Amino acid sequence: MNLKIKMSFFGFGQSADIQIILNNEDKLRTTKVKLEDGRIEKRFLFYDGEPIEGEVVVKLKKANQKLEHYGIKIEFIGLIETFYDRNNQNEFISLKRDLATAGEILQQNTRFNFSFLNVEKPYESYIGNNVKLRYFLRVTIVKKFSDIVKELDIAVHTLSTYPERNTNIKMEVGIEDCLHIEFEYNNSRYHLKDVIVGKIYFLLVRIKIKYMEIAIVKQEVVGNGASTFRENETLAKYEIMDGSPVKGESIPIRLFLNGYDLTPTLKDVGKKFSVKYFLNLVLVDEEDRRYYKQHEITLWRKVDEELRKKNFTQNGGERITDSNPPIMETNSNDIKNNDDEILDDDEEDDSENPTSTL
Amino acid sequence: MSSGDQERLLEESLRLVENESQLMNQALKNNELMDGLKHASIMLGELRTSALSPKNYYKLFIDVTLQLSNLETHLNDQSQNGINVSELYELVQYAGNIIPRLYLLITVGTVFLNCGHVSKKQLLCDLVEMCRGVQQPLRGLFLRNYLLQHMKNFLPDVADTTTYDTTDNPDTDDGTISDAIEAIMTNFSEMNKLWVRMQYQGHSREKEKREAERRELRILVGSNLVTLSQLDNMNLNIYKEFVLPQILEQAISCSDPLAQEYLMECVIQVFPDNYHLSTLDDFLFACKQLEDQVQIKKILGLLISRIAAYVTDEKNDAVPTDAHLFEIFSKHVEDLISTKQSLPPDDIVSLQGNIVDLAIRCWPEISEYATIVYTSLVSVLETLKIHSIVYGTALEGEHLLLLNF
Repeated sequence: MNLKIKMSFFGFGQSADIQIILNNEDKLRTTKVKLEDGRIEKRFLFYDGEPIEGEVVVKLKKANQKLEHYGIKIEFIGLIETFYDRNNQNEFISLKRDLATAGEILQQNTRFNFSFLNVEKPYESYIGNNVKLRYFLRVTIVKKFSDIVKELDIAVHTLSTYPERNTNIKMEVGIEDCLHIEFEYNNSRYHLKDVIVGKIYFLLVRIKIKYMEIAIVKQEVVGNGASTFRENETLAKYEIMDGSPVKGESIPIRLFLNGYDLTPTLKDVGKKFSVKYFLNLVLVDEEDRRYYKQHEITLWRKVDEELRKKNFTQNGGERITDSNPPIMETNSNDIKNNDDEILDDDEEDDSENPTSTL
Repeated sequence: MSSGDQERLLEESLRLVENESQLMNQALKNNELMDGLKHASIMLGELRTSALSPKNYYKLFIDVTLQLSNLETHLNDQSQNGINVSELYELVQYAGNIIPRLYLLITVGTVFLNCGHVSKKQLLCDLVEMCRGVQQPLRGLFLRNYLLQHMKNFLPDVADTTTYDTTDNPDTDDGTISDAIEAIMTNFSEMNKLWVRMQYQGHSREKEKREAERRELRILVGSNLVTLSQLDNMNLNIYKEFVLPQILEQAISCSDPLAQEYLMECVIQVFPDNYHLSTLDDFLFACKQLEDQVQIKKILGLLISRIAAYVTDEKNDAVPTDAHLFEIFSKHVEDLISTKQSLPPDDIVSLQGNIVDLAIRCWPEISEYATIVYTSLVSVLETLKIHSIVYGTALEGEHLLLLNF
C-alpha cells in the first residue's frame, strides 16, 4: 500500500487509464440515481434482456512506454451488497469476456470491443439504507503487483404492466366510542407517477382532532432469520386535513407520487432483501396523541408507451416481458374490518412512534 | 392572550410576509418559478396560525392575498408565454401543508381558467371539493372566501340549454348556471357550517366573545349569497326552484340562531323584491322553523318594509293586491304566534304592528285590514291573559308604536 502511494507520488503509479465507452452513448437512455451520500448521478439505463456493448480504451500515460500485463478482461456483474456485512456480497450475475491474453501494450491508445448480448437483469437497481443492488461493468488489467481496475455503474429498471382494474380499498377503522372513520383509496397498486385518490369519512368523532396527514413509509428488510435488519423511513408527510371535523364530514385525498423519491416495491430480491411501501394515515388530537392506520400499497414501474413501441420494433414484434406477473386480486371491494382498530402497538421501532389513548 | 401579545404576533407575521413576498417577487422577476413558489408557500405558511384573533387574522389574510395577486399576475403573463399550467396545477399540490397548498391551488386554478384550456365546471368543482380538507373554522372560512373571490369571474354563467350536444366532451364542457349555482351553494353551506362551528370551540365562558367574533365574520358567509344574486342568468324560476330552497334548508338545519337571523336577513337584502313577492309562502314558512332565540320580528319587519316599498313604488308594475299579500302575511304571522310558544308578548305586538304597517302603506283605503289585525291581537292578548299593560315595558312601547300608525 505504502509502496503504491509512493510510486504514484513519484509519477511511477498506474501507468494507464481505462475508459469504458458504450456504443451510441448519446442515444442511450439515462436516469438520475441518488447515491448513498445523497449526491445525484446520471447513469445509463438498461432493461432486462437488453445487450450491453461498447469498447474499452486503454490509454498509456506516457508515450514510448509499454504496459506489461497478464491479461485484460471485462465483466458484467450484478451484485447485492449488504452494508452491515460488506464481505457478504452476493453476485447474482457475473459474465466475463477476455479482451487480451497476457502480453504487452505498446500503443498509447488501445481499443477493445466488447459485447454482452441478451443480458439477464432480473432486478431493479437499488440504493437503500442497509442494502445496495448494483450492476456494473468492470475492466481489469491483471498486473504483477496491483491490477488496474475500472468500473462503470449502470442503472436497471424493471418494468411491469398491470391490467387496469378497479381495486378500490375501503375500510372502516376506529376506536370504540371515540373515533370511527372509513377510508377509501382508489387502488392498492400504484405506478411511480400515479396519483393516490381517496376519501376519509368521519362516522363518529368524539376527540378533538388537530390535523390529519398521510405518510408514505418505506420499509426495508434486509437479511433473514436472526440477522434481519428492518428499517422504516418516512419519505413524505402530506397534510390532508386541518382542524377537527364533525360526524358526516368527508375529506378528499389526492397525493401525486411523482414528487417523491420512490422505487417499485421489491419483494424478496435474491432472497436477500425486500422494500415495501405503506400509506400511514395519522390523526393527531389536541393533546398530540396520534392515531394511525397503516396500509400496504404496491408500487410498480410503468412501461411508458414510447418505450413499448420501440421495444416492439426492436424485438421483432415481441412484447416486452413483464418482470412481475400480475398479482391475483385478493381485496374484495368492501373490507369491513372493525377489529382492526387504530392502535398504538406499532410493530416497528419507528422513532416517530405514534402514541394513542388506548 | 393579551392584546399586546396579539399585536406582536401579528407584526411578526406581517414582517415575515413582507420578507418572503419580496423574495418571491425577486425570484419571479428572474424567472425562477420554483423558487418563487417556494417563497409563496412559506409566506402562506403564516396563515396556518391559530394564535391570532379573527380581526388580526383578517389583516394578515389581506396582506398575504395581496402578495399572492402578484404571483397570479406573473403566472397569467407566463401562461401566455406557454408555461404548462396543467403541470403547474399538479405541481403546487406537492406542498406538504394543506393551507399553503390550497391557496396556491386556487391561485393556479384561476390562471388555468383564465387561459381557457380547462373545463370551468370541472375545475370549480375540484377547488370547492378540495377545500374540504380545511375543517378549522377560521382558516376554512378565509380559504373559502379566497376561493369565492377568485371563482367569481369564472362562473359558467350561461343559461341552461335543453338541447344537448351529442359530441359533448366533458373536458371542454364549461357547464351552465346550474353548475355555477352548485359550486357556490356548496361553498356557501360549507362556510356556514364552519361559521356555526366557531360557536362550539373554546371555553363556554367566552360565549359572548365568540358571538361578537362571529358577527365580524358573517359577511364572509353572506358574500356567497351576494355572488349568487349577481349571476346574469339568475331568474325567478331558478331562484324559486333551486336557490331559495337550498338556502332555507341550510339555515334551518344549522340550528344556530345567529346564523339563521343573519341568513334570513341576507336573503331579503341581496335578492330583488319581486323574487320575495313570489316566494313569500316559502320564506314565511321557513321562519316558523327557526330557533326560538331568532328575532323573527326583525326579519319580518325588514321583509315587510321592503315589500311595502316595492309594491307602492310606481315604477314597478306590481299590483298591491297581487298574491293576496295581506292574507299571506297575516296567516303566517298568526301561525307563527301560535306555534312559537316562547315568543314574548312584545314581539307578538311588534309582528302585528308590521302587518298593520304593510296594510296602511299598501292599501291605505282598506281600513278593515287594520281591524282584522287589531281583532287578532286582542284575541292573542286574551289567550295570554294579558289584561293590563304596564307603562314603560317593552310591551307598552310596542303598543304605542302600533297605535301610532
